[in-house]
Amino acid sequence: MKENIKLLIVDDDEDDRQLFIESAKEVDETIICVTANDGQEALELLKNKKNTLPDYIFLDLRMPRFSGRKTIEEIKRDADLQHIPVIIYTTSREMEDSDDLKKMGAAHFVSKPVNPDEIYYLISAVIEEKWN
Amino acid sequence: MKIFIKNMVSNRCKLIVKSELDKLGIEYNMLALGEVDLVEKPSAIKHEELKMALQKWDFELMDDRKTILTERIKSVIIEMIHLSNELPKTNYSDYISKKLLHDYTYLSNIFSEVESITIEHFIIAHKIEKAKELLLYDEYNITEIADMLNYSNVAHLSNQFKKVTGFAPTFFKAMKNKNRTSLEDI
Repeated sequence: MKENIKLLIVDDDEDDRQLFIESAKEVDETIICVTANDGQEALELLKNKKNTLPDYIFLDLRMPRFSGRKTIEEIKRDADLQHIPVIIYTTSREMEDSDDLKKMGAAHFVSKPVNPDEIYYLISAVIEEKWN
Repeated sequence: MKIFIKNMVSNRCKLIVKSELDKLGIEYNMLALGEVDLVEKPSAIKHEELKMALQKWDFELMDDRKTILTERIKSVIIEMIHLSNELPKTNYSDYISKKLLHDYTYLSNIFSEVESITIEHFIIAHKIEKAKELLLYDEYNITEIADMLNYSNVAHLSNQFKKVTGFAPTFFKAMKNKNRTSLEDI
């Protein structure tokens, strides 16, 4: 039997993290969500061999201290992690960077979903369409 | 020259636009969902006549760049989900991006700005409308429908169906013909 889908959500905003968890449960209640406050915490989780790796990483680009850009760079540099599709979401002002981030290996790049419904549709689309 | 028409969502719409163009004696090379390639630029009077003729059918001649692009995205999605025999094997973002020769992020951003919903939301709304249609035809069971619409399992389709319509697919099927929405209204 296929194991449960696991998502890693990296976002410094607690409300947004919560919305992601709730929306993911709505898509499929068996989805496992792991969250990190910033890139550094995400990388610690990913590099800890005791943890199973997520199927998808949802990464906010705009975070203090350790940015989304730096996080994806690290992920794509690591042979054990680089296969995991990274979905970057951000405010539309940073959209002009998308080409750049795609080259760095982002699987998908979307403007930050504005409400729980849109987060639901984003997660659904990513899981169903195997956006990688 | 190309003109772009809003609200063209079916082959029937194409027939209507075709007949209006013929009536006005405007020649065209190609007519597709949402766009027509005219042989030559119509005079200002002809352009206005066409605009009025299309308005009668709730179609709209568009001139704003972002609105035009948004309508083209919608046409690609509608064609992909409702008018072709099977969904593309590649992921939708690549498919849309290749069809319109623009980066997906750029398209996604403009679409959200004009429509206030994301492309992902729009695609799912249409996939569910297609699922409704297939359920009502009674030819396929829900497992087959989930497969035809690229869902990895029935539960995902059922959850999404409930999210969008408020009903479980089986309940919807039992209600029969009452809940179809015309594509124009999604």
